[in-house]
Amino acid sequence: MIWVYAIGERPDLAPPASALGLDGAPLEGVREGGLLAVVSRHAAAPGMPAIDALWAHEHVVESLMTDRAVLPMRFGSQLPDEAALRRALASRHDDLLSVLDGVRGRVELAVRALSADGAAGADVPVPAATGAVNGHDSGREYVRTKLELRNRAEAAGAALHAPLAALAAAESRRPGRGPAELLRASYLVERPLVATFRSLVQRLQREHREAAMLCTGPWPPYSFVEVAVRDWMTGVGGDA
Amino acid sequence: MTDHPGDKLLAAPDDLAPFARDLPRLGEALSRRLDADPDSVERGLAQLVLTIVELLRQLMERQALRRVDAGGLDAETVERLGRTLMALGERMEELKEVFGLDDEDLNLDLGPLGHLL
Repeated sequence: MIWVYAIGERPDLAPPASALGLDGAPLEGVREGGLLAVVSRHAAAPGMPAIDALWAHEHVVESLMTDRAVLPMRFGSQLPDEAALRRALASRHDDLLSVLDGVRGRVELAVRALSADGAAGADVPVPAATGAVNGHDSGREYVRTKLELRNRAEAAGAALHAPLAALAAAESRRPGRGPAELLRASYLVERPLVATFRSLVQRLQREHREAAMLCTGPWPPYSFVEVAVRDWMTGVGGDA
Repeated sequence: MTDHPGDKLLAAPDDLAPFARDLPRLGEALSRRLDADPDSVERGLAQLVLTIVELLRQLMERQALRRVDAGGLDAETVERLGRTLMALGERMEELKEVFGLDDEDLNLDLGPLGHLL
């Protein structure tokens, strides 16, 4: 089985000799046209603890990012053999090159914002069961409160997202998990702008006490290549 | 280059605990095993059923709010909708209490599709 870490440009550049794959396996480059897929070969599923394996995967991708643009593969991307990998690379060759153009010199920064009152406080204070339920407009009151909470959460999320998105070359926002998550998004940012982005997050945090913000990165642009690589990895790979 | 996960924190609040709620789930997702312990099977079944019920409840509520937002519903209909939603919410809370489940339990990791709720 072949474990795929990333697809990069510069097929003339071998993967860094210092980086090791999962379970300490040596890295190999598979060249196809203008692309270099970086892989390691395994007889069985990697035996290292899952969290260590995640970081090993991440480490390989980041080491490649130091000298070329890369499309990071999602953790667990596997193909049965080299022929399958070559077919996959050849069939999407030009698409993959153009996605590489879009991420060159850019990194992913992830931002999450939670309502500062936590999950409980963000939910509606259900009108006291006894008295309110008997009131003749308690149902409308409930709907009104729910709408107001929803709108407030949406507005809070948008107020954080808009300035961050303005600084980014691309953004990928996902629905929050539950009413307390105001923002869950990734931003594709020019590497030299990472410090600026970080300052912006800190400023937004100072201005928005209703939210608690977490910013992580820089990451390989996982959220901005998935569409490009998902199609051919799904189905051809083994069970991840 | 990252040598330590802490290097990835660019900006974070003093209290990271609320953000760490996903971590146990991550561990589970990576090493999910069926728990066939007879004592926990009943709870597991209740968890599965209530998860589906909660999903439907949330979808209904979201759809209902959209309908209200769009306008065109008379006051009486909104009142009836509201009461139904309120009753459903209360009933759900009761069931969660009976089976000792919290909101986190009523969620499923659907892999690439994300989380159910």
